[in-house]
Amino acid sequence: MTQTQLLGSLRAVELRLSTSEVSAFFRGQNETTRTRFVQESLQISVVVAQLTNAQLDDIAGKLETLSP
Amino acid sequence: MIVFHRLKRTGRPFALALLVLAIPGVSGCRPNSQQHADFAKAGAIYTQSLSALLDVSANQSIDAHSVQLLQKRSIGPIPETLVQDFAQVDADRLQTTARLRHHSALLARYFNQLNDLATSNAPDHGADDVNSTTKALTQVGDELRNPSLTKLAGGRDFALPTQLAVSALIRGRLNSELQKRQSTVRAELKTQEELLAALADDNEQNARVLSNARQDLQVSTPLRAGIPPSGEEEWIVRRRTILTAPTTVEELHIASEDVAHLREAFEGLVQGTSGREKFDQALSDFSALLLAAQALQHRTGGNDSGSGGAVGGTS
Repeated sequence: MTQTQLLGSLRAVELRLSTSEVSAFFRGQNETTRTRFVQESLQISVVVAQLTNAQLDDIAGKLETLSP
Repeated sequence: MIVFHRLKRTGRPFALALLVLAIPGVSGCRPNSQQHADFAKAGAIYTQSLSALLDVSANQSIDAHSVQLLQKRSIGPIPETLVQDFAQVDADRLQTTARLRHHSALLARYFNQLNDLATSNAPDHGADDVNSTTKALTQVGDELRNPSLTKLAGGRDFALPTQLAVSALIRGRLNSELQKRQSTVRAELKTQEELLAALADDNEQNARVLSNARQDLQVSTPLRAGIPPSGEEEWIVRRRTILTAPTTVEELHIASEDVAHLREAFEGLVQGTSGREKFDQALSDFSALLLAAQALQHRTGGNDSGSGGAVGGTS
């Protein structure tokens, strides 16, 4: 799996976890499950953001080699 | 005819004819200055679009994180460490955006100077203006790290006996500039294709996440909790607004291809095979992209400012 494919897969998971269906399901669970869901789903979003930043950072680096 | 008339008037026709023909790019089949100007214009419009897209993408990314935090807060407690993690990735994103914007500004200066030179009316302005424009282009060219233009202009006096020769020299310099800098411009455009593809993916993801989270917080959750009769009209409007908000922007998805078209036109320009239609296409592509970017800028600013309060009230 390439970095781009990994980012694509994580984005698909992030998207799924943000839907009303999933949220409604977890709102009906006990506190432990809800807490865990919140932490882990937000963690995925942080990783997606970190990978996106890394991708853009890499591109910025390439462009900077073309200018001082 | 004008050429011969001017040469005759100076009284030095033979010497000047030799001088003009000796200038690189004047003789033979070379791209005309209009193609240089079109290339520069397309590049300038592109950099304008890019600046807007960079802003939109960064703002949308931050907003998507904010709405996600509010959505998840309505389900369970959020550890402070995660809040800090989001703050860090948002700060990093802004920092990277600033770097990309800085480069975009340099690129815009380069294209604008190139355009100034290509469209400069040398016969009306004389050698001094040509000198200053060429020097300015040299400075920007240096910023894009290519020593060729320094050598090209390098303190030389471009004042020539006639205005015609000055104008011809500019055209020759333009050809020479693009010939010598072609590998840099090619690499630049190739990397810009990559940047636009990444921005398009990121933009679509954030738009979809925002839409999902808003639907959950502002439509589904209030519906389950029960909407008072006085709030029903507002809920209907909000639901329609969220459901009809586009999550993809066609112009953004094909923007990477637009840059590829510009790169092809550039290849034709340096090889002397480019037709006017390729530049017309590039100008049209980037004008559409600029409009889409500006619309996105407007839409992002308008929507997000109103969503935070409404979302917060549902938790």
